[in-house]
Amino acid sequence: MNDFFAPLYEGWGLFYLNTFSDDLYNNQIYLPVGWTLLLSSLLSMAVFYYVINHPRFNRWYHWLLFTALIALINFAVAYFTSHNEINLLYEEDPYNTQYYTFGLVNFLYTFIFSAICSFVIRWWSINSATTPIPQ
Amino acid sequence: MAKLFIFGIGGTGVRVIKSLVMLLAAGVDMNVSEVVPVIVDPHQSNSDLKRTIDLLENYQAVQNKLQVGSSHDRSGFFKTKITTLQNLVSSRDMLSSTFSFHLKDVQNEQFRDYVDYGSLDKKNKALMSLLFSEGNLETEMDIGFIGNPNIGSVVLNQFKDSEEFMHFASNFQENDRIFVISSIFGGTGAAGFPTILKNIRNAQSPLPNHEWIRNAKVGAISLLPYFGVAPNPKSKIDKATFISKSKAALSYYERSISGINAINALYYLGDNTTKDYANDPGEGGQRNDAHFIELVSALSIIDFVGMEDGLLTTNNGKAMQPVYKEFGVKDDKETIDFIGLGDRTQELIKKPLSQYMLFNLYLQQQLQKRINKQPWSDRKQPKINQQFVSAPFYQNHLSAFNQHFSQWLKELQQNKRAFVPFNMEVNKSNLFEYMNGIQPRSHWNPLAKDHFVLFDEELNKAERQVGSPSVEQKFMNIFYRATRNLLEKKFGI
Repeated sequence: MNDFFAPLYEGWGLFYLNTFSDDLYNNQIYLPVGWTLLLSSLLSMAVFYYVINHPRFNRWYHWLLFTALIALINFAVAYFTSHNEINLLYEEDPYNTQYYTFGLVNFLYTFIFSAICSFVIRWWSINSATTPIPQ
Repeated sequence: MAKLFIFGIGGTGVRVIKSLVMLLAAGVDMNVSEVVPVIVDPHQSNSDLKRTIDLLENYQAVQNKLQVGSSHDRSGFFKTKITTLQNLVSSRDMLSSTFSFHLKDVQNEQFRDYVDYGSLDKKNKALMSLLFSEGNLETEMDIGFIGNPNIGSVVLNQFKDSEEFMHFASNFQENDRIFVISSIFGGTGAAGFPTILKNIRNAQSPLPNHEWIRNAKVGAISLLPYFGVAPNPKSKIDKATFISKSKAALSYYERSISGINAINALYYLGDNTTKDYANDPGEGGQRNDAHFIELVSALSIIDFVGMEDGLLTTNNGKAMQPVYKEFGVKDDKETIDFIGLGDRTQELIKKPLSQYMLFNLYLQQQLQKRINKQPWSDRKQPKINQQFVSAPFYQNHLSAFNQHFSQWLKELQQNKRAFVPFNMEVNKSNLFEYMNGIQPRSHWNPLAKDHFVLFDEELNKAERQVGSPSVEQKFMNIFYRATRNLLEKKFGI
């Protein structure tokens, strides 16, 4: 799975951050962050569509707000997981903005995965079947 | 299934038909394939007549859009077809396209001119003087017969020679039924009922289907006084005469209707708790508020069509087992809600009217806010969107019908005796307190969906159960299903 997540987080070169990305890959840090991303997106969307499932919380901005909350959590997961793991490798941390970039990429992917999850599972939701946008 | 021809005579006939249409819109079961109202009222500028015709036309326009497709996709609202005589006539030739029967030679004409009094010889003039007062002869008939059944019985005799009666006869089938609505204390109804019944029971060749018509299953309601009119020395209508006129008419009916078994089912209805209406013989437009008694009269029609064929056998124009019925409420109160009605009446109308009221409340308070914002609106084709709301079906017909419905309820509420089944002032925070005297089921969960939120959820569920009918069918069907489920959930009915 590390090989599955690596190209995603490196954006097929677009988000590749040289040694920082290499360190994440070599130390398999993509794995917990990626799994957290996938599972939290799926779980949060299941909660949105089947547990909350509310006629007054089914507009696109409700979805956006809810997903933004999950995305923020995933930003924090990416930031702190990478920061903690890399700190174990070096006596003096050579990276600074890279943690934010990695967090932002995870933030972005939360929206993408949540949107994918939405379009897969929303059909069976009674009150949110057209959220965030009708087909 | 058979057709039901309803002859609504005079102002009361018109208003009873209005109540019946409200019940049919709400989905009250009517055991017939179609209803054909024929309004017999010489007073063509009568506001009540205009309102009822407008209502019937809107009903037709809505119903026409709903009757196509499979029964699964049909809404329970507006399920009974109402049609005009013209719609039954394949040639669509001479009849005007309304529900109203046009009396000839009554517009701007005095009764004196109608009978050609001037050309009568001395003996016939003397006979006329015996039967008709000077006031009778000078009666302007375009506002009705103003409490003079002796005039009505002459003028309404043209009914049997009318084009409408011929078309009625040619479309009458063996198992079709006829119902006549009239009041007994006025002019048009008191005269019209025996006249129409006589023409039915004496039907003979060359009238088409005369055998079937003569032996038709005929029901009627004769309304005894249920409202008064304010005293007015200038008016020809005096409520003090209502009782004596009723007695005279009843005495005549005893001999010429019930006495000869001319009718299969006759319903009598009246009330001694009354309100005085403005004393308007007709010039002011005659606009009377809807009345509980008229609603009950409409129920008599439903009772009549529910009777077994075997109970309504007619042989050679004589009813074999004539029945005579009355109606009562549980408590003699001036204000009645559903609980005040008898159990059978409650069973018949409580659920459909409550469903339709909920539907109406949603349309008034929520529809515009929820269009394109709920799955029931835009999950799949056809979408219930702004275009649908702006189209004639909704804008011109359903909305217009519902305005009549709200007005009808309001009038029932302010009349005497008042029928007040609903609290019409409910809003998004107390929607389910809309049935007077009936509390919704309570729940302990503060997060539970309730009111219009629950309504939307039921609409969203209902939307998944309908197929892919037209947008009009989808709209009516999901609201019918949702309101039915809401009543079950919140009230157990």
